[in-house]
Amino acid sequence: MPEFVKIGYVSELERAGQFSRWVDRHDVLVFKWRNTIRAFSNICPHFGGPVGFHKMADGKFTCLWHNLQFSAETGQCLSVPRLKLREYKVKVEEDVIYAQLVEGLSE
Amino acid sequence: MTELYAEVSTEAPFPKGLLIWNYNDHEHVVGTHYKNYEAVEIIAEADNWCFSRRVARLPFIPIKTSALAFSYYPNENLQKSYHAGPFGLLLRQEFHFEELGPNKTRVTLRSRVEVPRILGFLQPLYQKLMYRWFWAVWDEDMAMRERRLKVWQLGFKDFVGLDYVNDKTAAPKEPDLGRPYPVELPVPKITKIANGGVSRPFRVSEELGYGLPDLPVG
Repeated sequence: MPEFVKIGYVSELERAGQFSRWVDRHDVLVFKWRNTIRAFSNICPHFGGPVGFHKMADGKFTCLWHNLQFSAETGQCLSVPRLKLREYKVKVEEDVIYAQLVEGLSE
Repeated sequence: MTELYAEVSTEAPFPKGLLIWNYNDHEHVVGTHYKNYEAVEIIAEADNWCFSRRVARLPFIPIKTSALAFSYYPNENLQKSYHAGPFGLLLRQEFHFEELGPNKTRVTLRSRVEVPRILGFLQPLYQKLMYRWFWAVWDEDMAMRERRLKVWQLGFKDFVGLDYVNDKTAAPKEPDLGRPYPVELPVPKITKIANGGVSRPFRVSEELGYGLPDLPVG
C-alpha cells in the first residue's frame, strides 16, 4: 500500500530553504518554492551527483559534480534536455514533511 | 636543468574501476573541485587518452593558471598526464592503480617537473605544494566516490538514474554490494552537448553538502 513517509521537518528549511536526505533508498531534495514545499529526487540522472549540494540560485539547482542545472519549477535539466528530476508528492502536517516515495495505481 | 619531484601514496576503499572512472571523468574537476578549477574543456579524446584545457587556481599562490593537459593509459593500472603550463613548464604525473581487493585500491602519484638548476632550492616547496594539492582534491573525490558507489550498488545507470526512482510505482531493491565496476573508457562527456558547459556557472556558492543525517528510526 503506497504511503507517505516522513522525510524531515519544516524547521529544517529555515536555514537555506532546502535540504536533502536519504530515506528508504531515495535521496530526496526538499525545498520551498514560491511558498510551496516540494520535493525532487536529489540524484542527478547524469552520474548520480547531489543536485542540492549548492543552495538554489535564480530558480536553478546546480549539481556539484558536473554543474548540470535543473529548473526548480519543473525539475527539467537545463544543460542536457533529455534529463529530468522526478518530483515526489508531498504533504505537510504541522512541522513534519512527508513524501510519497512509491505511488500506487489507486489513491 | 634539475627535477623537482613529489610522491604520494594512499589506499581507497573502492573498486579500481571506480577510481579509474573518477580520474578519467575530466569534466568533474570544474564541478566537484570548483574551488580549485574554473574551467575545463575536453578538446579531443579517444578510448585511452584525453587532451584538455584547464584553468586552475593554485594553492599558496593567489593566481590562476591555464594549462593544456594530455592524459593517457599505457595500461589499466597506470595513467600518465602531462600538463603544459606557463613559462614553458611541463608537469609530468603518473597515477598508479594497484588493486588490493574487490573494494580496495592503492593510488600512487609521482609528480615531476624540470626547472633551471638555479631553482632547485624550490624542491621542499614543490613537495609541499603537490601534497596539499593532492589531499585537497582527494578529500573532495572521496565523497564523490562514496556516493557514486552507493548509487551504483542501488542499480544506477548513467544518463538514466535509478529505475525505481524513475518508475514511481516501483519499490527500491536491495543494494547489490557485489555489482562489478568495469573499466569503461572514455567516460561519456557532456561538454559538446551543453552550451557553455565548460566553465563553472556561478561565482560563489552556499554549500549545503551531501545531505542531512538519516532520521531516527521510529
